[in-house]
Amino acid sequence: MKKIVFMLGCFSMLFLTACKKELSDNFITYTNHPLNDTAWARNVSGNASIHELTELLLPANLVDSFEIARDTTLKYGDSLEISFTAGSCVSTSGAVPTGKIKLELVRLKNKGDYIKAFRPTTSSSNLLETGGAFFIRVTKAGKDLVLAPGATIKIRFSDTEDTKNNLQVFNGTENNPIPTSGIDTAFTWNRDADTSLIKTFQKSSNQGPGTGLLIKGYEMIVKNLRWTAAERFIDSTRPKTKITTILPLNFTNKNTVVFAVFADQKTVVNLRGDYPSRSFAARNIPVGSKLKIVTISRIGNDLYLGTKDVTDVGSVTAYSVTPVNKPLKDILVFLNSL
Amino acid sequence: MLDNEFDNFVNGKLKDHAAPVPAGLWDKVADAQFDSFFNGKIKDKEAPVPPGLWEKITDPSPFDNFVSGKLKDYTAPVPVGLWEKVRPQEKDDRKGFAWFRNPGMAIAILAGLLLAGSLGDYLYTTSGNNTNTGSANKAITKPSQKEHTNENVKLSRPNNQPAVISDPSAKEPLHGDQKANTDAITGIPKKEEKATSNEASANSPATSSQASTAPITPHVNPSALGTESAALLRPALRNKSSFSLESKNNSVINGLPGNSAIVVNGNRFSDREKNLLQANSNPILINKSTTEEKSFEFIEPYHTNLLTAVTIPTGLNRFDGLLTLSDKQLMAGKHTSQFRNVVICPTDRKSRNTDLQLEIYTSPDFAFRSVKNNTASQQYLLRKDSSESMRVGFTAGIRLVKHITDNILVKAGVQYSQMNQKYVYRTENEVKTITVVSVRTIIRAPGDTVIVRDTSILQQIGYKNNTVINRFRSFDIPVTVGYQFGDEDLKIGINAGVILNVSSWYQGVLLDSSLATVPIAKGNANMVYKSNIGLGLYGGISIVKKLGEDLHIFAEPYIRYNLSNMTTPQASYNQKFCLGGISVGLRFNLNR
Repeated sequence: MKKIVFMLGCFSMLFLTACKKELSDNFITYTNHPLNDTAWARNVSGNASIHELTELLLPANLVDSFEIARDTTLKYGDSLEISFTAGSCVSTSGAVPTGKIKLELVRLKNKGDYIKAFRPTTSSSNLLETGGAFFIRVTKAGKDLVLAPGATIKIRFSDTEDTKNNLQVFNGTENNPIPTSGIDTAFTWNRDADTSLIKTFQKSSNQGPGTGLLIKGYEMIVKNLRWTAAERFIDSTRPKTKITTILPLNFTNKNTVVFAVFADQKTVVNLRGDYPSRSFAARNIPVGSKLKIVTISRIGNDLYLGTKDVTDVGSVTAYSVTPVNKPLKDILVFLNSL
Repeated sequence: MLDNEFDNFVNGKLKDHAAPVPAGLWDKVADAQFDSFFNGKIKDKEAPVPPGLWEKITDPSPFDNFVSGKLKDYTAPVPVGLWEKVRPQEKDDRKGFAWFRNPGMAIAILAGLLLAGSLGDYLYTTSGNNTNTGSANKAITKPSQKEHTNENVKLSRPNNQPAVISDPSAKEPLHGDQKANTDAITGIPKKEEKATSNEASANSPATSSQASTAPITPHVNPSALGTESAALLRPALRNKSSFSLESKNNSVINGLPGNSAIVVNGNRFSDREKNLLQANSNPILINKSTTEEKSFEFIEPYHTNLLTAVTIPTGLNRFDGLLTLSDKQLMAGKHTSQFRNVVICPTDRKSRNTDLQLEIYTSPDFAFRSVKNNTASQQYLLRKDSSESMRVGFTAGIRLVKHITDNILVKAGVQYSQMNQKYVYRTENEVKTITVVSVRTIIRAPGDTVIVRDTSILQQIGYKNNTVINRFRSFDIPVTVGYQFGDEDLKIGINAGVILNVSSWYQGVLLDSSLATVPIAKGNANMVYKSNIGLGLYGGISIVKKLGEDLHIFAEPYIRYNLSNMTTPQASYNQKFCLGGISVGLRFNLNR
């Protein structure tokens, strides 16, 4: 018996060598691949991948034309009317163009549009609540026109939410020169010198008087072309704090933009990259705010979307977000849903 | 006067001198008184042979049966310690019938029995053919024992004749013609015979042996006889022609020049036989019949025994009708007792070995690949060659070892072989994820610093040099024949045979025609490799070291060559392997 056991033991030992061994592999990283670039930039260059986002996400613009020599009201459904007075647009040199001029219009209706246009509702570091924003460009023969001194543009637009009563006109301040592409990281909203409140209106929908559908909106008098918005500063009496978003090492300020989208108001805050802490941060966030952190990254040819719901900004102000690779379509759907 | 001159002088004086022999001298010399005494006692006596005696004696059947019965199952006991001397380390504690375990020994014993039986039969038959000699010898010339001396005396030797035994053909007691013949034979004057006793009696023996009567050739072995018996017989021997013949021959033999031929009973002995005769110095031998002498040379190792055996002592009372079968048995018993132990040599155990052993072994294998292009492109072969490299594999198995002899053995069993092949290929855009813990110092406000530890995943992209071990596995039946030699402690063997493949299967990756690496899963059919690679040749040299009574360890460098390709005919290339390795294992003896 002992011999048999011994023999079986020897025989079984022989087959131990038949066990499958782990395969080995030798992984070598690409040296210039964006995913492997985990370095942060003190100053994001113009060729950083974040600038590609604007090209991908920019809301569709509306192109039209009208006769500049007479008063014109352009109506786009029952939610938007733009009225030009005759001779309101002149060239930068003050010359009055004749004939039709070209109108390019971008409307920021919801919070996702602000993200897509990379126009957060902030004035410097102050948070704004918006009713809507527009990018209005009038060109004649490819040259930008400006409003003539004292001339105005009346914009009547409906809001996706209930109208706010104390909105003011804010003008977008762009970098100088205006970047031809990419994100204008220096953009900010500045309240117009005319701090009068924007009128609101309510009317029946064009769908038919019998429908009972009411259109509520604002009638905003604009004195500047390009970016203009109906906004207001948020309640400044609430305590504020700085929130920080931490992303994996692959996501840097060169390929990622981070926004805080408030849940209960139309406010979108950009969390700028904080080089020392390799994080994204925003100040003046009211304590107790409910918001959603949204990150959009462009690494190589891949897009990443990260979200995190913050129900109550409080003692914990650092939020870790893990973006996931998403196709552009999904990201747009998500942004439109905000 | 010098000595030489004195010799010449004496020689000259005595050269032609003849001195008469005084009367009675020879009688004195020959102990005539003794002869006279015997003459007086047995001169007129005749010992009649009992009826049927010769038939009993000459009938070979009972005797053969008797001898056969005695010797059939006879085994010579091996002296104590003999085996220990031959195989001091072997302890045979095997179980089972010994004859099956050691057929060699059985064959040897049977051969010994057969030889002994044949020998006995031969002796008896030879004696029967020369009844007048052999039978008579048996009947008469047995006085080697003292108690038979007186009985010998009873033998009638009229006229100082030797005990003349009747013609075997007549199988009758000596009477009438036989006696006359005897007289004729013995008609040589004593004197002359004595005078010529030292001369070559070529004529006399011829006469005696060629006589129609049976030549009297008492096979008396003086060495076998007692001293007294020899003394008693001496005169008789001397007085009888045949006896004188043998004495003469004996003398001749003893004094024979080296190149002299010995003629006995008309037979001429060669020098070799002569030497043997001289070595034996047995006068009886000389009187053996031609047949015996002829056969003598074939049984050299036992000639002494044979000579002794011929002189079987027996009582003379058989002539008194007591020669019964029991007498024969007695005689045979004595006959056999006269044999010095016929040593049946210990069975040559090396000639037959029934050991059955079990080997368990494993081996590191080194495979040598042979690839021949079939329809593959040069680029394909280059990529394949750069991607693949053979690695150490292994073989493990179990096999039975059947010893045909101690030197020749047959092995058969089952074994599992695995050849390993390193296959390296590169895959692009591989993403590697690494879990990292990042520590960030966040300044929420001047003087409000928070350290945030975050566990996240770092992704890296790159290419990967994949290393896959392709495994070519097979299940085989090795059948080999080996020859081993050496001592009990260490043996060296040479083995050769075939390896029959039962099944082969493969696992790993291979390069397809588009130069992409595709996996081959276990059990999945593929168009590249066969499921049976057929026959292989095997050759090896083994070194076996004894660890215990039933345990050996061995190492066997070997080489295996597969005769057929492992790839299918549809494959774009032909590939086969040649394996080399060193089997190391244990060998267990299953008979213990």
